[in-house]
Amino acid sequence: MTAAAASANVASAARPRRRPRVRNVGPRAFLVLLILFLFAPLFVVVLFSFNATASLSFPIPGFSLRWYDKVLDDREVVAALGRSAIAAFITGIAGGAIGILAALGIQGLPPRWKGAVQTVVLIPIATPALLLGIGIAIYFNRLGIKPPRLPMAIAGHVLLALPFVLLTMTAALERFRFSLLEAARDLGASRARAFWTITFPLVLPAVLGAALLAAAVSIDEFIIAFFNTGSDGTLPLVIYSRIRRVIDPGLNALATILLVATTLLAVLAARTTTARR
Amino acid sequence: MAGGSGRPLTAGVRAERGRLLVSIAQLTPALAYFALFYVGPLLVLVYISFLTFRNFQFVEPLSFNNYANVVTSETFRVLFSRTVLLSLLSAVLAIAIAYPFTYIITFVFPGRSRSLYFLILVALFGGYLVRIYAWRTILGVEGVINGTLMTLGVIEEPIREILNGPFAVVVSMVNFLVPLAVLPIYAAMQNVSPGVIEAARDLGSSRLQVTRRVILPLVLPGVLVAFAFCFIAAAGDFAIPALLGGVESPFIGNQIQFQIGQTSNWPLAAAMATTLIALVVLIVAGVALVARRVIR
Amino acid sequence: MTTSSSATAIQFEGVNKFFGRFQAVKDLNLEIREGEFFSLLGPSGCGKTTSLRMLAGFEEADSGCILLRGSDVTSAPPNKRPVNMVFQHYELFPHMTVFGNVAYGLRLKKVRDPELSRRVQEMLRVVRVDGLEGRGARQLSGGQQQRVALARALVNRPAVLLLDEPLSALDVKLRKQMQIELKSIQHQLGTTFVYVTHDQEEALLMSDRIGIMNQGRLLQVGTPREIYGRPADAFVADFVGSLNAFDLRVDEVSGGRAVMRLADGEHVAVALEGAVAAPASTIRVAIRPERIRVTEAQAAGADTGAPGASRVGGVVTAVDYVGSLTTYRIETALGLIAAQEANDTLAPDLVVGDRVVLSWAPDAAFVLPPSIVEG
Repeated sequence: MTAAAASANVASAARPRRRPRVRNVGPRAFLVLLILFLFAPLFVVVLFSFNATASLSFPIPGFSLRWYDKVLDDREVVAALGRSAIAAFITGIAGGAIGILAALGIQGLPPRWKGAVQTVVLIPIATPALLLGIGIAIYFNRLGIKPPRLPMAIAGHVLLALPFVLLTMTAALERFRFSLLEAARDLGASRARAFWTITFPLVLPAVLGAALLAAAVSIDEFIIAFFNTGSDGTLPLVIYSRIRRVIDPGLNALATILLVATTLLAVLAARTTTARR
Repeated sequence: MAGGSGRPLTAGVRAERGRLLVSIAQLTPALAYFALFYVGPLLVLVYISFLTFRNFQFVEPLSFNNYANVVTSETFRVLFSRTVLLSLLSAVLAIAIAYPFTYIITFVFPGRSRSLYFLILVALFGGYLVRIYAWRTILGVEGVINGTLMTLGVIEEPIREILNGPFAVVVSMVNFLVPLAVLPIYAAMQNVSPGVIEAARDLGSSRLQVTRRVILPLVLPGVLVAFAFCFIAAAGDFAIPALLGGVESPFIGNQIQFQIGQTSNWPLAAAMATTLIALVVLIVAGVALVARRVIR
Repeated sequence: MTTSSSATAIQFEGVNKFFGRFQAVKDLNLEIREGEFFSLLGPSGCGKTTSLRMLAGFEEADSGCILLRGSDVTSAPPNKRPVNMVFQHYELFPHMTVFGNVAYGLRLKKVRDPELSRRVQEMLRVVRVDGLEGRGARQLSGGQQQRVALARALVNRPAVLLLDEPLSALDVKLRKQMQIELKSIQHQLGTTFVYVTHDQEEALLMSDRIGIMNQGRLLQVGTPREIYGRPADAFVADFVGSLNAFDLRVDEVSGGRAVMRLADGEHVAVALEGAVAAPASTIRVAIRPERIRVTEAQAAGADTGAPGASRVGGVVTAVDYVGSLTTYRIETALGLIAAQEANDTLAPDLVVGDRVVLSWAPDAAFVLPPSIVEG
C-alpha cells in the first residue's frame, strides 16, 4: 500500500466521526465575556428587584413585586420620575430640533469647512460633565438669573445631547441620496413638495432616532443634574441619595425602572440609527 | 453679467452662494446655543476661579491665590495624582477591551457586526448610575458576592476589600467606559478595507504584524479620540469614587463637590476644575504626541 | 402615430455651460426631431450628461438658449418642463411601492382614479413589470428597477424622454436585452428619446441619429451609418469602432482616387470624395479592420484588378481569437494593420509568421480629416 493510499484510508475512516469544527473559539469567548461584563451587573439588579426578601444573596428564595409597590407609593420617587420625564421630553424636542437644523446646515457647507465644524460640535463630549455642571450652575447665579432649577439641568442636557444628535443626523444625511430629489422635481414636484414627499419620510426615522437619543442622554444624566437641580432631583439623583443609606431593596426596583426607561429609549434610538440603508 | 474681469458670474456660482447663506442660517441656533450654554459658563467658571472667597461671598480682587492653594496643597496633590493614575489605567483598560472587540466584530464576524454594535450603543446610553449601583450591589460589603459566600458558608465575615477601594473604582469605571471607547474606534475601523489586511497577509505578515503595521496606524486617530473621551470622562467623574471608592480613594471631583456642597467655596472649586482640565488636556496631548511617534 | 418626423422637438442654440473655470459645454448647436431616438455619445467628461441635465432643468445654461417644441425653457425649473428622465441609478423612491413610484408624477398632475390606476397599469404592462405594483422599490432586481424607472417617466407622456446611461448598471446579457426592448418601446410609443451613453455599440444599435461629443464640443451628428462609415474626424473615427489609420503618399490621382504604388505591383487607393490631394503630398487614410480581406500569399493569386481596389502584402504578427471573430495583426509596408475575419467556414487558418495578402474594395478606405479638437 502506498503512503497516499494509506493516508486516504485514514481520512475516510476518520470522516464519519468528524464534527463541524467550531471556528474562532477565542473571538467567540471574548465576545461572550464582554457582553457578560457589560450586561450581567444590570441583570443582577433587575433580578433582585423581584426578590421576595430583602437579602442580597443567591439563591433567591422567591419572587414578588412588593418592592415596586413600595417604590411607586413613594411620593419623592414619583415626583422625580415626573421631572425626569419632563427633562427627557424637552431635551428630545429641543436637542432634536437644534441638532437637525445644524446637521442640514453642515450638509450644505463646502467640504473644507464641513470637517472643521464636524469636529467642533464634538467638543461637549470631550468636556468633563463636572465642569459643565458647575459652570452652568455658577453662570446663572452670576447673571443674576434664578430660574427654576430643572431648566438649568435641561439646558446642560441639551448641550450634552447635541453632539450625538448631530453625529446621528449627519450620518443619515450622508446616506440620503439627494439625487432622489432631482427625480421628484423631474416628475413635476416643486421644491417644497419634493421635501415633504421624499426627504421628510426618508429622513424621519433618523430624526426620531436622534430625538430619542437626546432623551436617553437626559434620562441617564447624573452629574449636571447633581449640581443644578438640588432638592428637585431627577431619578438618578434619588438613587444616588439613597445608595448610601442602609440596604434598601426598593432601590433595585427604582434602578430597574430607570434602566428600563433609558434602555428602551436607547434601543429605539440605536435601532433607527443602525438601520439598514 | 460678463463683467470686465475674468470668469462670468455663472448660474452655478449664484446658486452656491445662496446655499451657503441657507447653511449658515441653519447653523445659527446651534452656534448661539453653544455660545450661551457652553462658552459662557466656562468663561464664568474661569473668572470665578480668580475671585476671593470671604464670608461665604466671592469678591474681587482677582488673584492667583486659589491656584496657589491648589498647587501647593499636599492633599490636592495626592488627589490629583490618584485621579490621573486611576483614570489613565481605566482608559487604557477600556481601550484594551474595545479594540479587540471592534476588530472582532468588523473582521471576524462581519455578518454580526451590526447587531453587536447595536448592543454597545444600548450599553452606552443606558444606565450610568444604575451600573454604579449594580457594582455596589455585587461587590458591596452586604452585596451579592459577600452575601452568597456567607450563605454558602465559605466565609464568616464579609470581605471588605472588594468594595471601598481602587479595584472597585477601576472595574466599574472600565465597565462604563468600554462603550464610549468602541464608538470612535469602530468608526475608524470602517475605513480599513479587508483587502488591505489580506494583501498584507499575502505579502507574508503575521496576524500580529498586520495589527501593528497596518491596522493600528490606520485606526490610530480613532484610538486617540477614544483615549481622550475615556480619560476625560474618568478624570471628571465623582460618582464612581464616591460610591465605590470608600474613604481611601476619592478623586479630585469629590473634593470639588465637597468644596461646593459643604463650604460653598466656589472660587476654590472653580480653580480645581480649571486645573483639572488643563492637566487633562496636557496629558491627552502628550499621549497623542508619543503615540504618533511610536506607531507609524 | 401622429407625430411628423420632420418637426423639431428640441433646439440647442449656442449653449455654453461653466462649472467654476471648467467649461463643460462649448457653443452647442443641435436640433433633435420629433419622434426620433437620438443618442449623445462620448467619453466621460465630454459634456453629454451636462447637456442632458440642462435639458431636464437641473443645470442652467450660462449663455445660449434651449427650445422645447419651440418655446424657450432655458431657465424653467425641472418641474415646469414636459420632459422626464430615466436616471443612471434609477433613483426609485425607496419608501414607495412600484405603483407609488409610477403614480408619483400623475398624482402631482391631479390625475385621479380610475384613470390613475388605468394609466399606471397600462405603462407597467408596456415595460413588462405588471404584477409587481405592490412590491417595494427596494425588493426589485436591477432589471426590474430599470423598467419601473422607465414606466415612472413614460407614464407622464413627456414630450421628450431623457435617458442618462440607464443601462450602465446592468450586466452584459441583461443590457443587450434591454437595448432591444428600449428600442421597441420607443417605436411603440413614438416618444422622442434623448439617450446619453459612452458605449458606441449601444448607440449604433439603438439610435436613429447620433451626436458625438468630446471636450464639450459636438463633433458630428448623423445616422449610425454616416458616423461609422464616414466619421467627421480622427477622434470620431477612433471612438466609434476600431480603426486602422496610415499615411498615404499620393503617387497618382485618377478617377477621383488617390493611389499609392508599392513594390511588386501592389497599390493602395482611396476615394477622395471631395478631399483635395496634390500629387507627391501625403494624406491620412483610414479603414475599418472588418473591411479588409486576409488571404494566404500562395492562395492569393494574381491581382483581380478591380479599379480602385487595394492590395498589400504582409506578415502575421498576432492572432486574437474572440469566438465569432478573429483579429489578425499584420506588419505591412503601411505599418501595422489590424484585419478582422468572421470565423465562418471560409476563414483562413493562419498562424504567426504566415505571409498574407490584404485586399479591400474601392470604397472601403476613406480620407481622415484632421481632428477638430486638440488632443
